Amino acid sequence: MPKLPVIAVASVMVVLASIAVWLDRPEATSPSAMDTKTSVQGVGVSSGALYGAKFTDLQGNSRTLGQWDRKLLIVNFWATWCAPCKEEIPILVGLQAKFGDENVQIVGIAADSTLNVAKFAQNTKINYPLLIDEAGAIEFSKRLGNRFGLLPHTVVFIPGGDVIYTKLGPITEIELSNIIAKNTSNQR
Amino acid sequence: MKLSHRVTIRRTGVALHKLMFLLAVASQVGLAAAAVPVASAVAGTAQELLEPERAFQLSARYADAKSVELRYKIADGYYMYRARFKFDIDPPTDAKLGKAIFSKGEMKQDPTFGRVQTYRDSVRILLPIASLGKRSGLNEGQPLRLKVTSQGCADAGVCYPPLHQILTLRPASRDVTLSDGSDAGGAQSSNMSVPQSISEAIKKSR
Repeated sequence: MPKLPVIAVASVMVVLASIAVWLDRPEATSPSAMDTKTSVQGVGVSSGALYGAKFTDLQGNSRTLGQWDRKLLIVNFWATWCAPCKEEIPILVGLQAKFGDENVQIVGIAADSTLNVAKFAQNTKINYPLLIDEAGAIEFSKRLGNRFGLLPHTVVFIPGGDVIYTKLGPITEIELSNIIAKNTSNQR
Repeated sequence: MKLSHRVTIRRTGVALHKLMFLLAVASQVGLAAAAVPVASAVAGTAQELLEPERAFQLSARYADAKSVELRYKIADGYYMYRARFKFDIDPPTDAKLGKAIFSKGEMKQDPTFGRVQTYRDSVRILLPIASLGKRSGLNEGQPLRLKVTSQGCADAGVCYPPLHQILTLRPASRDVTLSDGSDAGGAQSSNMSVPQSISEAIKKSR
């Protein structure tokens, strides 16, 4: 049998095998790779990435979501330049007031400047923490399944960091209220 | 024997070409799938939303030697904010942009920002290049990179994050090409007609 065809076929096999190996390669290990993965239709980040992500508050202090890792955490991504986001804030304020004593914490993460958020907060009574990361909030939201980085984006995490609910666009009081009630001890 | 080798080599070459072709087709199919309007992958959203570059389609051309005209074709059910447009020479040079002139939009009341102007269907913007500068090299045929920032929302109740796009302007040939902010390719030439009212507005502004 001629050697050349054998070499050519073998080369093709090696190329195909290399492609297969490359496609099957494991993901790069990150510091949080051992953390629990979360999922709602594949949505989620590691608990380390969730609770370790850094933001600033209105006073300029560095904050993480870690302080609420034992609560039903409702993260609402928003911005002052997003009219639908501002329209749903009264609903979130109402839900925080209603469920705040039941281990529920709503947190607003703004993809905006501190100045804009402070100006907005001056004129709007908000009873839950507002965190800010103008550059990073959208990217964080994308990591939670929000492909285009659209706002508003609301994600509900049970204690430990698993995602149980996500919503792009305006939430309604009844749907979020039902989610909260189903996942807190005192169902209403 | 030599002939047999050649034939086999040619066949192997054809096989390799087929493999390359299949890989190319597969990648193109992947790209096409990413480019079509999609429903959000996030649970709880039934509304199909366009990719930002499709919802707000930018085209541009030289209106004259010293100004560029931008046009956004805005998809039905979407709108843009005038105050959210921003134009920067990127990276900065000693070339300078003039004040942008916008077509007329609709006034809207915003609880945070007061009266704001929004656009539906389309918005046209004339952007004067006030000075090509001396150190920019533009007079010697160097291209000018213009970073255009825009932002819009959908009636479905969502807003897109700021969209950054790069226009490459070549003053010598009056050519404008558009590529995405990441310079990932996909450049396309764009042309459009200059509306009379905006042309007049530019003349008046000088």
